[in-house]
Amino acid sequence: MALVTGSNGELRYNGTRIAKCREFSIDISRDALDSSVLGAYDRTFIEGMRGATGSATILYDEDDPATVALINNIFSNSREDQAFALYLNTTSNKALSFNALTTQVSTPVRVGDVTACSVSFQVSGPIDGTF
Amino acid sequence: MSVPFPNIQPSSRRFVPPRWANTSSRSQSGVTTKRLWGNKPSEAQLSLGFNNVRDSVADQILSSYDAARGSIASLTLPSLVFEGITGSLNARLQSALTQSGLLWFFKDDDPPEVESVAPGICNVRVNLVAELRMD
Repeated sequence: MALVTGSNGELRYNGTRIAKCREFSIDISRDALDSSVLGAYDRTFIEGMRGATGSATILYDEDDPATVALINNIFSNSREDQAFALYLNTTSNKALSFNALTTQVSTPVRVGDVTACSVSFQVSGPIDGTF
Repeated sequence: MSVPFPNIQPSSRRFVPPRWANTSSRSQSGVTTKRLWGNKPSEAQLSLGFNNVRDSVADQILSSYDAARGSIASLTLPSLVFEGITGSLNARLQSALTQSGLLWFFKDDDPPEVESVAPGICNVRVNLVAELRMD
């Protein structure tokens, strides 16, 4: 039984490891297109397109270039997708790789707490890799 | 010559019954006179929607359109086209189908529309008309 924990995980942004990532998640969904026909009493569906969104919580470290680049991407006007890789297990190189655009950055700052940034992203195009 | 319409169940259906041909005239005093021409109605309308179907289904419908040369040849509609209609409405529609001289055709200048919505999946809309016509 090969269970993995957070210690096996890693977030990479444009090929570079994000030094202090507290957590990341990805939600992959697929459209269910209604193909119901007249005369039937039960709906039928057919597979539509896939889409995915994700988020990551990163400790703000202004000395880590990859962290700063990821957070500041929200200010970029280049309209270019960025390369993300979510490693579920770095030992076996089990990763989901994709291009995405940053859609939200939120940064609560509290007394007595480490400043962490929550980054949300929208996947654009296919996801390479499997679970 | 009659061309078979594909045996596909529609997702939506809109039927307009055939109209009785008549003319009307109004006198200067405001009296309206109507005159009925013929003893059979004509030009029933049938709009069929096929939602989220595979591209092969759209191809079947377009092949039928080509075989009928558009609005030239009549169509043989399968009973599946009227699936889900019950009771007296079903009887009315069936009589519209079988009424002597009334034949179904693709509507003139209104070919089937194919809208692609996802890889291999599309929506198709077909407009038919039933006319009194020598086939």
